[in-house]
Amino acid sequence: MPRILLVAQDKGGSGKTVLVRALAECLPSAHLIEIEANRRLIELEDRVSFFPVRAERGEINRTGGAAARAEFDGPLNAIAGAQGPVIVDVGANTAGSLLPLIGEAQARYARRGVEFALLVVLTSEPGALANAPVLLDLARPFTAARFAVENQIEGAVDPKALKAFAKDVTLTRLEKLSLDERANELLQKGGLRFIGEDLTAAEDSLTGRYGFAEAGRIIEDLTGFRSKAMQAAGPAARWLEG
Amino acid sequence: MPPDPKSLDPKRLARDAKRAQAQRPDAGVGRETTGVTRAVRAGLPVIRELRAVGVTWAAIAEAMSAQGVTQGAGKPLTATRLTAIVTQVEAQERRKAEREARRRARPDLTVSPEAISSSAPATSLPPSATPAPLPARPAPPGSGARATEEEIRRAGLDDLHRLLKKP
Repeated sequence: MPRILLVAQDKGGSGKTVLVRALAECLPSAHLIEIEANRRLIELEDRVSFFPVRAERGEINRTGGAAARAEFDGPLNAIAGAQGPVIVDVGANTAGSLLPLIGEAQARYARRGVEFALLVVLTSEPGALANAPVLLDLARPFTAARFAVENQIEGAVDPKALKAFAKDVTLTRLEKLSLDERANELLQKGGLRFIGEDLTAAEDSLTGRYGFAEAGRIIEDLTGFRSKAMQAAGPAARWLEG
Repeated sequence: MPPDPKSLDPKRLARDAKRAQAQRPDAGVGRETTGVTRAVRAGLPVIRELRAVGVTWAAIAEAMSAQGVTQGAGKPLTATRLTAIVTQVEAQERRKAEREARRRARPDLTVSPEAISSSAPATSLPPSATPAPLPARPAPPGSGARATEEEIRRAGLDDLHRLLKKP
């Protein structure tokens, strides 16, 4: 039975893609669907099907809304054709439109055996904090499980705000880590994949470029960050694995 | 002294313009900047067929390198660079198709639809497998050489892979 994990947060810069990458690390067999204005998950190569969010206001007006309705045909079709676990990276400003469409098609997806879960990323940034419960509510009717990750990138979220989440939402935390500046640069360039696959073997190269001490910090920081991100994504990854 | 506009020969103008157009490598889809891009454009139908049957990007890049399609100063073509160029060429094709579609819809033009469709790029894939159309965004003046977000990301990933190679 195909399981689909939607990863969403309509506020940009919340760390959603980091969680998507962490899920991909947890579950190497999972396929990914990326719904974004531009490709981001390039290091994952063939594992990703990319669908550009492309409807512009002018086009939507010109077509009487048809452009907006058809905008998600590609990813909705890809979900219907899923054969195994799929992670869906729902780009910023997209989930509020996409989730209701999935909800409307829920019965038809269910006949195909497709199950859904939602993972919402929340930060202390007011826009992200306000959007998270909205998305969780939108997904409630058609999801078998709901997850939230508190990303402390902007500081810890007010505990009162966290308590407001329903008891059936599994909440985990991604602590803020102070990465070595160079480590952060490599993270931006390569995501998490190279950390697990290539980093330790590249110690000599890093030492040659940055010196013994900094190379050690880079490896330690990146390995630690990947591990923390995978822990935060862990419950959702286990659901996805079935 | 500039020529007198009244003395312009319209037949000669049409003939010379058509000849100049025919000599351009692929007018209408942007400037070809490297031999790799030209090679990818020419080989795109084959590349798509290979991908459809499961051949990896790395294998295709290696095979192209074997035929002399290299990047930089004779370096073998990488999978990352190849996918970046394929994406770029496909985006150009989409924009070209959209321009032609808009042109077909213009009632003030007398060019026949057949004439336009005959110039569309051939593809061996079914319609569902071709890339989704992108919105037509007029590029601001002088922006032709600007890198896209994806190109910047791919360049960063290439840098990283070079760094991680054994010294």
